[in-house]
Amino acid sequence: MDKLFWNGLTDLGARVDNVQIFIIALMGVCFIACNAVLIYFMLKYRRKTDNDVTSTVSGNQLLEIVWTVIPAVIMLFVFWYGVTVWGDLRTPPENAMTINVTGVQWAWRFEYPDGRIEAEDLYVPKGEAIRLNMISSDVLHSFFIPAFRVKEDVVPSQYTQLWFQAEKEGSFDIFCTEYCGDNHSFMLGKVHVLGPEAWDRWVRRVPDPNSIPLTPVQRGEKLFSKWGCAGCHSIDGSPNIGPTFKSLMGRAESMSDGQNIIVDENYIMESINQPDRQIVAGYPKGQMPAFEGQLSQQDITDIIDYIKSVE
Amino acid sequence: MSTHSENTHYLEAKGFNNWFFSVDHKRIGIMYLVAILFFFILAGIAAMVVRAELLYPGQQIIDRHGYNVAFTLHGAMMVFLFIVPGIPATLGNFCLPIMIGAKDVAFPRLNLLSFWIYLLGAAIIVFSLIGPPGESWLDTGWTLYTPYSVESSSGVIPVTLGVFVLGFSSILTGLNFVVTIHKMRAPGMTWHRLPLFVWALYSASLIQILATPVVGITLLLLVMERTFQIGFFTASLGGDPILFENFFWFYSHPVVYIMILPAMGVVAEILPVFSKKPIFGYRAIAYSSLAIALVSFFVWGHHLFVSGMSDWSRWVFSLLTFAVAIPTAIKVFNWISTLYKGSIQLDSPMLYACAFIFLFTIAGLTGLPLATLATDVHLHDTYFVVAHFHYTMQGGTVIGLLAGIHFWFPKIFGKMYSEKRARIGFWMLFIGFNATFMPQFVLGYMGMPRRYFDYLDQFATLHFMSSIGAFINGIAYLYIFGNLIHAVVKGRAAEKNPFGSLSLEWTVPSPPPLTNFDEIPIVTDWTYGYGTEQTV
Repeated sequence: MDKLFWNGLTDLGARVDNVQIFIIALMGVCFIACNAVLIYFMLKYRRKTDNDVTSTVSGNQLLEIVWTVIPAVIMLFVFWYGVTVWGDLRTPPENAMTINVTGVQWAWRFEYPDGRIEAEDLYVPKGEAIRLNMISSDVLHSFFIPAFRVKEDVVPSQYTQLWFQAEKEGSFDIFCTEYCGDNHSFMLGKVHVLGPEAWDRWVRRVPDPNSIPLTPVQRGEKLFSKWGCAGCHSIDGSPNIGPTFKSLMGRAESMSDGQNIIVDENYIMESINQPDRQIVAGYPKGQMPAFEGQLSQQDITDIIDYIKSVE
Repeated sequence: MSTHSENTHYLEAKGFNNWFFSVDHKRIGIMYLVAILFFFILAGIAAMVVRAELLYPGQQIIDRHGYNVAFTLHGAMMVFLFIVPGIPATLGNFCLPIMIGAKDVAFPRLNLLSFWIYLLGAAIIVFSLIGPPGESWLDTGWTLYTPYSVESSSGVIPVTLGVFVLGFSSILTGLNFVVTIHKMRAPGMTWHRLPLFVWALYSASLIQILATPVVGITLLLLVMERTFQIGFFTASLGGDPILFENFFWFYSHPVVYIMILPAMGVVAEILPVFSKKPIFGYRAIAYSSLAIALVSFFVWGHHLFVSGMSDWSRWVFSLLTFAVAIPTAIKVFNWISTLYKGSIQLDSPMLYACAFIFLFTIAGLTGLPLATLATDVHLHDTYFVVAHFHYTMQGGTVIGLLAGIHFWFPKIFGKMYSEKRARIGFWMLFIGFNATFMPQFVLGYMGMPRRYFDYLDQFATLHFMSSIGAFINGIAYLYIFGNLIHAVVKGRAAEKNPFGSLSLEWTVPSPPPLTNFDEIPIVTDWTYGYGTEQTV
């Protein structure tokens, strides 16, 4: 842990620190103003005799209005300032590299687009946007990189995400911040930010040439044919019994109940597990079997990665 | 005391039955006080264990599972058994009827029942924390988040049952207070003449009545899930784990205001007495209590800012959370203004009241970066939150409770404590408390997560400081309670009105007679008519 503020590791982290410093300054001013007056009054009006003359003033309407309106305006401003920066924290760039993260008691597991799996330590290239698509295989966890000012809970049965773009090489702590049992405080890891050369070496490093792993997309494609998804879902955009997978991810769809949604990981997972919960308008219910309990979480993530790749 | 010759004071009758079956609000208040302080000490011991373990990196006195049990015991007992009943059931029970000129609460027997239910609920909680013989103690944290709580032990349903039973105690006390305040006020005690402590109790009671039933719903859903395998909270059954967080905080967040509002009321009683000044902005303080009670129901989502809740909800809950800051700020400004041109006597109750304002500004202001979405992402579930929470709960509620105990002590027991030792105790507590939790703000910003049995070396210095502070904090409580217990046994007799208060409870003898008043008083003015200036 070097600098407490503005460690220069991510641009967004610096903007979060701007908000934080602004709030700390605001806190400081309010704290000193309130307590300076409090202590001044305590000393200045200290009882001298039992018959001290005291004021009978019991209120002032103008003051009440002033100290209602001013805090309200300040609060609105802080809220708005926080929301604008947070909005960017929540919006990964389009071109971000997605790494699948699984939280288990008590370790982190990272799967790269090329099928490579790392446990506990995350390796990322410098200067590239990284999006973590996270899910838990047991209880609640929370993925926290203090140096980058990012955190999000990792939940069973629901994908959550966070993103960052590291601008400096180095190794930084990863903590689990949602209590998850006996070894909660040992569910640690490091994120290693690698420069272009080191990253290249790391990418080309093949631990065992005989067992080059399938990528999640390849595994998803296999599952796609194994479970007969192609019977109803085309991959070239042509109409079929179910919606096509072509450019499905991120598409705006109208549901039969009138809702409009953007297709994301969580929607696809729900559609695999419980297809009839939300049906795209124009398609009949009851056509697709519910796969809840038949596919592992890993299978579902692989299928989603495959669907994402169909463009 | 010739006017009260046939009306003996309430402490006179001795013996178990005279206490345990007494429907006198004062005795019930005392019994509550003894009970909650008992659990306060137990939970405090758990806190000392936690801090001793965290003195240095690595294992010190207990293993990782023992540590998780210790912080669970600390949190669950402090919250459910000590701080929720805290001020209302003790000082509230004792003072409320006398303050409004009544001989008792509206339903004295219901009041006793609520104490018995409290004992029952406390027993259920304690036994479910400890668990059946041979099984491990509950280690889920007081928040009981699913699915961990469901997987790790069978304790979650009994604890929720315990909270539910305690909830009835809370609801009945709240109901009793609301009816008492509506129907039992002495002639002339209009709403705008009510002491502000009564306003605060009224607001807290409304929350007690309205928020507590949600615990019952949660319990019902948990039981249905366990029994019929209907998925509500467990992902493998098709449930949503975040739903439990929503239910839990829908109850537990308003409860935070049940804890703090009465303490604010105590402070508003003490400030005018010790500065011989009318309270400043009476209506603003009274109505801001109601405003806080109302808004408190709509901010629970800020506990879920990084939980996976939808972004839209996070946005809305952030805005609503900022709304709470406004009535809170209004209170602080009015309290401070009360001191203006007063004649301030810094006796121990006043020291505690002023410390409350000081510490509460820290508590409130450190809430700002937690309400702000961009900064909360970083601070969420770190020691920053731990410190913020303890500034509100210990720096706020406990300091407020101690202010009230020192203030009403002569009235309650008819004895006087050593003022000198009370002040020494106060300063020990003030120093110990700040030494414990100030470092934790920094730890949190450095990224130290909460509920960690062990920590990395970069956190070691601040953890050590915090632990030393905690030990001073713990010793301070022993000293303070020692002083008070000594006074109960050996203290000199207290006067009827040693601090010169104008409130009704100080017009009756110390300790008060069994029925409070021989004749119901007729109220002609508010209770804050201090000040000697002849103008205005």
